[in-house]
Amino acid sequence: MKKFNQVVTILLLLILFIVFAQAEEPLAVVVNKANPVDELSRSELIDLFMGKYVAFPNDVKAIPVELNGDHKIKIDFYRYLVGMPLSRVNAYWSRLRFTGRKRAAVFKSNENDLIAFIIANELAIGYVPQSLITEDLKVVYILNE
Amino acid sequence: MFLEQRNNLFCIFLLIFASHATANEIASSKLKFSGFATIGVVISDSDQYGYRKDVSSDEGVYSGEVDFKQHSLLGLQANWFISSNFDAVYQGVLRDLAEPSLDRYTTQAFLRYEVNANWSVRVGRTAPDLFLLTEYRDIDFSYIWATAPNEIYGIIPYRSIDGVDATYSQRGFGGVFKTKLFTGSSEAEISGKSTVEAVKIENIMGGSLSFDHFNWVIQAKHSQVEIANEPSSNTFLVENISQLPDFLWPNSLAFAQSLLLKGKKVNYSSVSSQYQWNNWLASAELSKINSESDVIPKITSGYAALSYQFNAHQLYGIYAFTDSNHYVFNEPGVNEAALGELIHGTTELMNFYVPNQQTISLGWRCDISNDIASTLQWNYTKIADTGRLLWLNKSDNNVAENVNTFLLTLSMVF
Repeated sequence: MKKFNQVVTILLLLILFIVFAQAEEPLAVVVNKANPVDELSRSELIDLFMGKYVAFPNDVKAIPVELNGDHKIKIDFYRYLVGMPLSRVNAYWSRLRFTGRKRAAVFKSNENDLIAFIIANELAIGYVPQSLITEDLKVVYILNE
Repeated sequence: MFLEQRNNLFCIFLLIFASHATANEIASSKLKFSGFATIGVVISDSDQYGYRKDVSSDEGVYSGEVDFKQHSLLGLQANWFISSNFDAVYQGVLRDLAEPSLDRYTTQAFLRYEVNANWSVRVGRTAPDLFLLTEYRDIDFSYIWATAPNEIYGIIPYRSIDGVDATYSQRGFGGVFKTKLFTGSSEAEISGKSTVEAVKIENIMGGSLSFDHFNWVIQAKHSQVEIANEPSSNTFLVENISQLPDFLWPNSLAFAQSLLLKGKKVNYSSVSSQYQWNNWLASAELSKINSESDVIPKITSGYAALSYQFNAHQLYGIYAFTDSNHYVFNEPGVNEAALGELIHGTTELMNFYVPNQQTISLGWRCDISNDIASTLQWNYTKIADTGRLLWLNKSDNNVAENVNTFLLTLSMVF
């Protein structure tokens, strides 16, 4: 009986570990610390990252920074933000890009480069896992909290 | 002639500009290259009516043929980010054209100045914004269907406008209002059974209004253009009719003059909307073309479409129609027995721009990856005997026919 209880406990711990390991980390939308904007609404964020109105609420132009290609953080970001798979986001953006309606966003190959760009550019805005937030960044929205 | 030379010079200037930019800026990654492509296969089951993507195409797809030319294309784009609010774009699209030239392959070549978050101005060659999809109908990856409904988009041959546009955007009521005004000129070809006519339009004055609330969008567009040249088939007929004496054709000169297109104004209007909820997407558009000329009839077209997405797949259905007035020769006092050939020519000309048909489409799009998609679409089209503009007609007879067309496309962006 004692051995049975030990097995059950180990199994429960294992399940809990798997559940926590799989729980997806919230994504923080961040701007340069000097940016006067303190928070964004979800619709402002959608307008900004979907190229509808690429500016902060104070009407100052923003520079969205994206991760290259099929980065998992990028896939999660658009799933949380607009509920779309990346293929549909790409289809939507191809409309804006190839009709010359919008300038393409700035692309970075990894989170560190993305953070470095935001720290160096007062108008930049991007998204990173919450665990990567530093004192040099200001969080304006959190997705999947 | 002047217009052609000016456009060629413009293209050469932009190529030099692009290569100069390549040499100087590639190291600082201010120059970005991207592109889109489609490999499209079409089969159709009519012996008489040849399927074509739009009226500029001079080759149709008939029963028993497998076509790769109608929908296949390669688009390449260079963006040069000159400064934070100033950039230049060049886009060339290689595809099957009735009259190929560098000028026709160049679909965009403009300089953009973003004044602030609200205002943006572009000068040069831009995509035409006549109807909802006219700007991106060749970027097949960007929409669900294998092709934009022919009933609206098959009528428009223009792929670019040389001129200026200004866009104003403003947030409000939880969405974004956008207004765009544009002006310029354009050229394209319209093909018939045995002729390819150059069509030039100038003094284009257009505007669009849209409100975008992320999961729903409404748009209204209106443009007025002036026809800048006289198609040779019109000239030939006008010369012949205007020489006829009154006892054969009363007021022949006045009638002949009414066939001339140069200087006549044509209006393009459309309203459209799109609504997305959960996995469903509904869209609809209604368009109208009318003109000062009797040769270009009033054309009313529209479509309604519904699609459902599950995982990487989207299933969809489209109903589209186009309706216009068919001309029947009924000029008073004309000696029809003696002038049979001229009357036939007049009737053909007056009905050249007449489409009358309905299409039901069913399709399946599969996103193979985040940048590649494949779409299979079946079109069932009921062509009326009074309107075959969108098809190439092998015969001199116009008969009603129901045509099945299958399209398979592989589209991508890179």
